Amino acid sequence: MAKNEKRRGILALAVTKLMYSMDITLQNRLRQKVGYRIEQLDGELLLYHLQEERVIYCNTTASLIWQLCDGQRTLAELIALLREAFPEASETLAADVTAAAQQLLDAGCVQLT
Amino acid sequence: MNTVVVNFAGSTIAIEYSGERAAHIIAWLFRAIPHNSQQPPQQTYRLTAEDDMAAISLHHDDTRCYHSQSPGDIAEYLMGEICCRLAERSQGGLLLHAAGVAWQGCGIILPGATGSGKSTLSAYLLTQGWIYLTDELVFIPWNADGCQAFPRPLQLKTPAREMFGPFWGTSHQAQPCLHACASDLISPARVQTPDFSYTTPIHCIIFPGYASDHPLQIQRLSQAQCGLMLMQCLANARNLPEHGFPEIVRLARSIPAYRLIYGMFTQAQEAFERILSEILPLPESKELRE
Repeated sequence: MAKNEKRRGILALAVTKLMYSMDITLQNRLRQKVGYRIEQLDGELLLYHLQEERVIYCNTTASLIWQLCDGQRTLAELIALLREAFPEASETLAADVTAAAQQLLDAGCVQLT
Repeated sequence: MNTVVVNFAGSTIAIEYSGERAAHIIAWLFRAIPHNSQQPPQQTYRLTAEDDMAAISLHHDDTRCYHSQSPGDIAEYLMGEICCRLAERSQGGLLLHAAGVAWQGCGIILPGATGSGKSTLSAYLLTQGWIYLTDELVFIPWNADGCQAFPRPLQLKTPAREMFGPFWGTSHQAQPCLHACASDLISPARVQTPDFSYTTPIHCIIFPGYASDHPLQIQRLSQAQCGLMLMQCLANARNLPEHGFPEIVRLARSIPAYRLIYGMFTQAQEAFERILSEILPLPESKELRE
């Protein structure tokens, strides 16, 4: 994970106002929300929800996290997994992943289980 | 009652008109657009003179939607209506809110919402010798790499009308300009416009943004970033399978895209030259710089 990829994980366009205001915790489990058409472009994701008319852009960081949101892992376990894969980024990894996960939740493309 | 039928991007709109003043407005607005009366219109407007002959009324579905004594105001309002209505029923491809310009067959589209500065930037580029395609609507048929442009009159809003209006002057015999309350309309006949039926190849997508005194900023966009921004400019999404998303992705994968922030128009010219030098083979880009 690139160290210079900061907390700007998501840029979301939503026709409907997003209602999520819950702060995510390390014990939360995140699951991809169903109904998104997924396109992978050069390591980034573009998600489109037909019914909600919402398109979401995920950079490489957010794309990786989104793909790991299977509803089984807690956020703490997700951070641990990524820390193993990217040891060079361990300093800021927890904060970056938490921020990106919060953004995914706020954007409405993942949900808490 | 005479009728002109505007067919573009899978939509067909008829405008019925009577009287000399209405006929003049219709001829001025739609001279660059072929009139195809073979397809039945999906919507109809009617342009007629008021009883006192001083004002002209515009009706849509038997409801008067606008009237004015000013031909410029009528023309501006009617063209705005036409652009909106074209989007309502458009299908068969992507209809983008975008300006379009070309340089020696190299097409660049400039997507952006209304008020983002597309027309003003287009006007500046025309003064530098670029070809005018459109300042509002670009249609990309399915699986095409080229676009069809809606050659509406170039619309100069304040302050663009003060900056660029004198460039076109008033000496042209075909009356280059109609003055409306909020803008000046420059006839497509007055600017260089290719044959309407010509599909211009798209070599580049540039999302322009003007910010006063801002240093020039050129950002090469990723494919996903381009796709996101194109979806924001898609005018006929709800008429398309999957709201046009797969086709937007196809476009984003195949055409280089940039975000441009500029504080002066000379910066924009510099940016266009730099971008073209990146994407075009050397002889074409060298010719541009010369």
